Amino acid sequence: MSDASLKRTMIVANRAGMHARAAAMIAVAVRRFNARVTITKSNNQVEATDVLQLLSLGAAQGEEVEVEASGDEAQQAIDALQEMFVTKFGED
Amino acid sequence: MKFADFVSRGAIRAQLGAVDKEGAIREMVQSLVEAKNVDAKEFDSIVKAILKREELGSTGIGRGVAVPHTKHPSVDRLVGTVAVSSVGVDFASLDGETVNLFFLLISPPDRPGDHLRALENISRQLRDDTFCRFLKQAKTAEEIQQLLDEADNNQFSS
Repeated sequence: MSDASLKRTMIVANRAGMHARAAAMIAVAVRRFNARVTITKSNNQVEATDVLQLLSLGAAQGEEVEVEASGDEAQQAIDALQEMFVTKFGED
Repeated sequence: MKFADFVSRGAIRAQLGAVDKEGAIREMVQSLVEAKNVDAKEFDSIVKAILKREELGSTGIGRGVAVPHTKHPSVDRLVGTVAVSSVGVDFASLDGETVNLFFLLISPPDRPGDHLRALENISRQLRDDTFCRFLKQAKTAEEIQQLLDEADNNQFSS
């Protein structure tokens, strides 16, 4: 239980970038947790549960995004997303 | 990237007849064949590739929108079309809603950046509720084209 939010910078490592399937993976994963998660790129902050918003970031390979999570399961949510980014959403 | 950079004017369809996923995809690819954006002999191969991509997870991304797509070696530049279904199509979307608005994209295998930029443009524009609603209500291809042109000219505030 904590009101403090967790922040972590992640790098889009897969060749295709944060495209539709990757965005859907993120949204589905985040919905499993009791947490609010946002992703920010270039001052554009979006809700991680919304695929349409995630795609609007246009996050390409090599670009950094900032993931911010709050709520009871913020830690689990941010760890799950980190794993996805590191493993390139199962691609490449 | 703007809509004009990848949406084929001649392939836009305001009244999709199909009520299922495969039918909708076939209708949109056929519209690209008729507009001479893709070769007729590639029709089956492209439809199959798009359906295969759907098996990895629906491109129905919520809010009544789907972005079916594939890479295909028969195109040398990103090409796409827009279609509207007034009745809605069951697309196994993430939010369970039927889809009224489609953006179908076919890109060359070696150009992931263009595909990402097109998705970025589509999703940014659709975040504007007015644009999204007007598109879904469009009754003719001309109306859709006009809305895309207005979005390209930043007439919607997203």
